[in-house]
Amino acid sequence: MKILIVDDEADVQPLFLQHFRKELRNHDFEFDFALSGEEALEYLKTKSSEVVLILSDINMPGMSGIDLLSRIRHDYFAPPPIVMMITAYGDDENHRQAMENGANDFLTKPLDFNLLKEKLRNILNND
Amino acid sequence: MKSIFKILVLMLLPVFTNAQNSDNEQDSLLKELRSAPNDTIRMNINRKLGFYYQDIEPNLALPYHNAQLKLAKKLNLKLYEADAYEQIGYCSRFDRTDAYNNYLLAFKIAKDPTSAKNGWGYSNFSDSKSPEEARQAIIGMLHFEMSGIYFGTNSKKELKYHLFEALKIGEKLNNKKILSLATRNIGNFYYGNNKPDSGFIYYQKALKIYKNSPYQKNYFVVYNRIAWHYLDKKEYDSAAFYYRKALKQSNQPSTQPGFGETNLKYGVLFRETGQLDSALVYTLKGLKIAELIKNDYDIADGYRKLSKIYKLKNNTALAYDYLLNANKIQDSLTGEYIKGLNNFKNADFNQKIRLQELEKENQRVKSRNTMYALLLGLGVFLVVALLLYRNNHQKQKANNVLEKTLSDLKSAQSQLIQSEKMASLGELTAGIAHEIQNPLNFVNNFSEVSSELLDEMNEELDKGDIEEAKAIASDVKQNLEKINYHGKRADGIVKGMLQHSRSGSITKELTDINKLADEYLRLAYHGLRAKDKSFNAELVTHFDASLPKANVLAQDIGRVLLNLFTNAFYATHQMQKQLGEGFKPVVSVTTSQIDNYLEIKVKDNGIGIPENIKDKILQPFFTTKPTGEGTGLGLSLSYDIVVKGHHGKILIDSKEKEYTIFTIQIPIE
Repeated sequence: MKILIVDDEADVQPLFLQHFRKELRNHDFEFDFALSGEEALEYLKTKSSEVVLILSDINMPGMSGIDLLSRIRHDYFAPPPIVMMITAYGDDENHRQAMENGANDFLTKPLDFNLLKEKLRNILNND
Repeated sequence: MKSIFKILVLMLLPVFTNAQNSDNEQDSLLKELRSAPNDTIRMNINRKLGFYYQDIEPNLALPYHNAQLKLAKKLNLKLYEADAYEQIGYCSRFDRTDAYNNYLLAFKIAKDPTSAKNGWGYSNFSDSKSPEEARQAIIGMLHFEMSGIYFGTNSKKELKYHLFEALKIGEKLNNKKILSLATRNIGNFYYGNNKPDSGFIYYQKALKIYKNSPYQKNYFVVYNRIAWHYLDKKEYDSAAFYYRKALKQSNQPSTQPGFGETNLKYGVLFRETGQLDSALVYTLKGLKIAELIKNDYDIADGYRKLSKIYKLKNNTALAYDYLLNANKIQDSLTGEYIKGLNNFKNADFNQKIRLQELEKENQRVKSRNTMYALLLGLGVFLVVALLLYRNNHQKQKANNVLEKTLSDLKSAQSQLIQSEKMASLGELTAGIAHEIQNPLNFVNNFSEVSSELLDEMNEELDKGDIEEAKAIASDVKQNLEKINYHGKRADGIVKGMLQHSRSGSITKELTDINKLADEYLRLAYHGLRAKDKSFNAELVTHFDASLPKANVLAQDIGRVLLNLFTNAFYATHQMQKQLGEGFKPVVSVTTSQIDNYLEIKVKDNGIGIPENIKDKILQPFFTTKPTGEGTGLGLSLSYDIVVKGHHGKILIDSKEKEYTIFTIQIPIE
């Protein structure tokens, strides 16, 4: 299962790699990273079919996570990927916007990796 | 004896003819007086009648001058009033005290300059028609008459004073009457004081004056005196020459004072030259005149002279009789004379005391007035001083109020600056929270994962997979570095925040402007986003990597940048609100070095600054933000920091609805 992680903070990358080292070793998951919404869209243009799940930060300079989500939902990537939004500000407005734009899930920072792992496993098993 | 008298009477005929003429004059005057149309003319005729009698019969003259006085008072003709007193005084001349008192009254009136104001017939007193000259002429004549009172007294000082005062006025007015009379009497004065040479000089002067004078009265007296001078020197020819001149000159009434005396003296000349009959004729003539005008002095003198002549004629009996008569008259005269003199001395003394008292009173009044003036001056001074003091006091009060206001304003200003700082701190807080949240998340996440990794590492070690354990250890080490990095990042943010809120200046330090700009750009952005989640903007940075560090107050410049960024985001946000989602806000920051300036350009594609407020935006308290959202101090403080604190410049370039560029230039030291 290919997962795209979008965050302007590069340091999230080693975190994901380390937290999911077993899963990665077992090839349950495969991670790709983008540092901005723009970069993520570029990536999706070529690899949308491979990507099953997109994890995106909302607060990013330039294109925000919400923008990215809306673009993904409007551009009819097929099949439509699961999009989970992550934000440091777990407020209702962000949550509402994310859900209105078609997010599948809404997570707040700091990420509970165990919870995330659970959710990912569920998705993987349902798949 | 009787025949002699008859001869004398015949000889005196011309004299009486003169008197007869004068009687005619008197009659016509009396006629005029009866038909006088008004008081002024009546007064003037009375005066003239007085003059007519003055010399012959002073007692007859008195009523006329009293009438003059009464009318002058009624008509308020002060000069005529003074003149009336003078004439009354003259008529009372045989009683020095009486004369003296009247002269004083005349003086009192004439010395008041206003006495000349209301007048008429000024030429009666002087040759001029000037009222003032008339007044002064009266004073001159009064001095002359006054001097007459002192003749025969011991008061030589007063005598001389009045004579020379009269002379002075006579010279000033060129008044021949006063001049001739004063000059002649000054001659008399010197003779009386055993200075015949000086006296003679004055007689000569008097003669000269009479020669060119319309006033001829008493002319003969001067000749008489000169003759007497020669007689004393026993220069009989010269004396005779002048006596003849004197008698020839006196073609006026024989009643003139001194005319009797002249005859008596001429008689002496004849007696001394042995012409006893001629001596007898002139002595009798003099005696007759003396009797006519009741001049007892001359009568006594005449009898004495007759006695001497008869003695020389060896008529001892007659000589004895005349001497007895002479002595009898002389005795009574002397008694009266001494009595009069004493009275006069008393009057004069009293007057002097009065004058002294008057002087004292004047002094008192003067010193009182001086004191009042001083008191008044002091009062005025005090009032002025009080006013000045009050003014000064009020100024000081106003000054104090102003100083207090100033210090209030200063403290208000510093409070405002502080509140501006706190306001911008408020704007920052959300951004800062976000900025801190991120590193904190990393710290937490990395420490968590590291703990898990160490568990795994132990498992691998148990399995004996050393390679895998080493790889994990290396990851853990990396993570610890990350934790350290993000910990420091959070630390830096907190320190920056503390610096921002601290008041007062710290010292300038070498600062990396690129880093500072980047830091505050992000803070501003996240601050705004924290408030309005829907806001999004593209941040573009063009940092000149070769930019030298600048010696600045980092915290102050940071505040300026934060302000510029916040404004830039605000402008783009407003633009977005107007244009909707299609608008993409872009805020860029560019650093560069231009000559010896370091330049920071902050550009946004927001609403721009309207032309009409461009010159106001740097003023304190100017804001376009809704009430409560901006203090209006941001740009004003920025201006102070850049221009005053760093000798730099703030340049503004903007086009409405397109862009705004704020450029900060700071000199590189």
